[in-house]
Amino acid sequence: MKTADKKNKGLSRLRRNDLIFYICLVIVPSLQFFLMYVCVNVNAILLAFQKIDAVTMETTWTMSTLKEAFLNFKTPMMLKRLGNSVKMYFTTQSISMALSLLFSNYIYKKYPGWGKFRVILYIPYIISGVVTTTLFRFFVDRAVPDIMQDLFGLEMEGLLSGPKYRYEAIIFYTIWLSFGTSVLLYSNRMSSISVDVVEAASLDGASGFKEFIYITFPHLYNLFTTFLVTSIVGIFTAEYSLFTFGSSVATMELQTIGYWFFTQTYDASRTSDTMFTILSATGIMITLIVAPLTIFVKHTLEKIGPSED
Amino acid sequence: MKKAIKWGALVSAMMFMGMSAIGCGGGSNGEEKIDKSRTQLYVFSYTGGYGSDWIKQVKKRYEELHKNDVYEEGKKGVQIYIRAQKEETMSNRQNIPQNRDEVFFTEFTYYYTMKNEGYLADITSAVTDDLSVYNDGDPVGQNIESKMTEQQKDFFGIKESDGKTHYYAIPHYAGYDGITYNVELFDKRGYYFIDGYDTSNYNSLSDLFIYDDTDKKSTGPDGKTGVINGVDYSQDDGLPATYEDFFLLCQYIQSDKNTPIRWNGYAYQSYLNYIVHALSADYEGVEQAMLNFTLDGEANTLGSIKDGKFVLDEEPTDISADNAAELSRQAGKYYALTFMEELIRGDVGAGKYYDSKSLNTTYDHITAQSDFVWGGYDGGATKPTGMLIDGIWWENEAENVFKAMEDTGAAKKADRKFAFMPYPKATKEKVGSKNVLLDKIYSVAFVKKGIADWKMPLALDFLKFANTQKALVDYTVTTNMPRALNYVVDDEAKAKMTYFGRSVLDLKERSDLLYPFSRNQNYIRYMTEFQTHGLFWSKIGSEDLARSCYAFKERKNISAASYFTGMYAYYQKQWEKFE
Repeated sequence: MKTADKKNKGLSRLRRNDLIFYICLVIVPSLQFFLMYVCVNVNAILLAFQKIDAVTMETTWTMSTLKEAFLNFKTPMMLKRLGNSVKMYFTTQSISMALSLLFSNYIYKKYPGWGKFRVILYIPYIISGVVTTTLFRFFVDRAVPDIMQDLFGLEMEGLLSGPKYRYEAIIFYTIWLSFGTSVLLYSNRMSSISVDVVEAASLDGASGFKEFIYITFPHLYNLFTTFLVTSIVGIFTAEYSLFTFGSSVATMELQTIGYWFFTQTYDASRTSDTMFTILSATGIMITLIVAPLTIFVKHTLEKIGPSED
Repeated sequence: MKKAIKWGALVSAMMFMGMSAIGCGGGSNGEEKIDKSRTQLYVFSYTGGYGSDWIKQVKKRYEELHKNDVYEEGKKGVQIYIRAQKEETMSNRQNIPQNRDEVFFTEFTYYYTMKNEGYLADITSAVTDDLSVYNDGDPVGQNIESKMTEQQKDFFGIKESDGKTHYYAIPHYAGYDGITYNVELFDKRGYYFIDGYDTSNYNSLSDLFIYDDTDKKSTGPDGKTGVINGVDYSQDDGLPATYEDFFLLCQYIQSDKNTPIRWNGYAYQSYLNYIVHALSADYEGVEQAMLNFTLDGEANTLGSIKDGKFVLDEEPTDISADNAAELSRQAGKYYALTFMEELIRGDVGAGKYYDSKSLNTTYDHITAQSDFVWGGYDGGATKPTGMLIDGIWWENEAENVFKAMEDTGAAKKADRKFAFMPYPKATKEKVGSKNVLLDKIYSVAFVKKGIADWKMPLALDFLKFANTQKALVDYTVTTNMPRALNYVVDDEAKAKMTYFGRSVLDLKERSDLLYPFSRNQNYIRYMTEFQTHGLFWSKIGSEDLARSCYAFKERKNISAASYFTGMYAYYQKQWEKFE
């Protein structure tokens, strides 16, 4: 009995120590999460129902901010930005997803040069975004015109400086930058496919393509779904590095809702807090569109997708 | 083992937290240590194009002056601790209360927003106190208020419930956008219009320009020459008087196989939009241009496009918030657009007026300045350039360029001759009207609210000291740029400045100054819409265009006339919200 009591006390002391250790470890990140995420987002939601007068600094609770945000969203320019956002999203997502799977398969199969190829894909992901946009900008706006001039005698504007290829240049840049995480995760997931299954398929005469369709892709499908579902919010938040490329590149043909959000928030921070209310209201509106869309896409993909079985 | 790993992880986590906290601390500014035997006054100085040497000079003199004064028990003297950073005050204003900076010298700081949000201390005593006590060249009775223009006093001075006028910030430095011309090249190649030239009757371009120094130059945009009532009007002799002259000059420079003009390609839309604003303000004059900010007064330069031509309204229009959109029909705006259209599209067979890189996103302002300065000095690698579009701070920004020239023995900065060009006029009828310089840099100095009561007199005293006659002149000589106050720079001080700096000062003295300030409630509420990049939008079809230069570059179907008409369409909708 005494031994059992001693043992119980020892265990609870151990649990207490474990608890203390756990609390010490998580308290700072939890506090940070609470302050920097929960409180910030609650404040942002509350801002959508307020109006701040820049003269008197009085705050009033009102629904008119939401109404103003809705009316602003219906203007031709915002609808154009929305159109750009959807178009660029589908273009970049479809190409980058297809290429991510292709490149991941190439790396997984260890085809010739796979190691160097992997490094080339990861490099833009590990270098600062400002550095990559600067390098890209100089390449397409200086090097490419100079090469065309020297090799073919063709005079052309920089790809970003002129309207002819600006859109394609931004799409290419966005896709090029998108491979880092997806290729890493896809290729890791592919490497967990059972070798026996692959060998069996090979013995049965399955081609590389069939292997991909019937074995590899179903194995990846959950991950693929996760990427696709989490990317949907990007329709409204992606700014395609336009701010970093500069206002001369961020023309109306390219501006997205995400870019508008970013620049409006930047302007608001430099002028007056009153603009934040409209931006918050617009954010709420967009959430009301994106949230159900994301859930719908998730359910649909889960229903129609292949299974590993 | 498990325990050791557990405690090791905990200690590591605490260490990382501690290191983060240390990283958040102010620490020293890297150059100066805090002297605990003296009282510190923390000063923030925005270090953009004008650098921070000027504030270090003020610091040195002030510390010397007060080296024996006691502000705190146990300490003697004061240490002006400067934080000189290129940090925007507006976007970091939430940090002001927590920051230790107490006195601020900033730019692009919106006075009423800062005041209404409670960041500014009342500095009325600093503004109205007699500065002669410092024996720094101010006569008895001279104070900061007396150095302000009426427009500045009206804006910065706030009448409060006690019936008195209070100040919460003062103007700091000036910033104008415009065209700098290469005087050496102009002198060498004779890029000056000859006296009596006639642009409607000439055989070749060279007939319009001087052949050599013996030829008399034209009177320039001010329509005068020589010394009249003690003012020398010969500074602009030979320079283009009208927009037409300007482009003829560009053609002449081009025919001479030199580059007429260049500018920053990376931000060309911003740079050229500033020129549109500057030219429209110059056309309108201060009174009419101010209507764009006060939304109150009589507009007598409004017009519209009829049969492809600009036609003035027969009657003036009373402007208020309800019809503010009418101001988009100002003649100055139309003519400025025609200038921009010609600048971007003008093709004289030999090419454009500008260097092709000026529309390339890789061509930044430093590279443009470098090409402008090095042109003709690098063994033919860079073509000499006649003119550069930039702000007056460009010469300070190009400090490393001049240093490189000196290091290679190519030329000394002090020997180089560049000058700020008075704006050409839209029409011949406007030649002779006073040049207007638009100062849209919103540079202010203030003391932050909430500093310790015992320290407030010190902060106010330092602010006063930084605005004495000597301090203003020292600033001008050091930066080669003017402060946004009225003060005299004598010839002895001017002799220490660069040629360009003297030209800016001379032009300031001969110009009307326009500060885009207003206490109109709509101006305060919708600040961004009254800045340069908010005033020149246009609606064409269903498209809203922000910058005319972009429209002229990429929309072949848009002309200055259609862009101008579209401005009215845009603002009629956009400014409906004004009360």
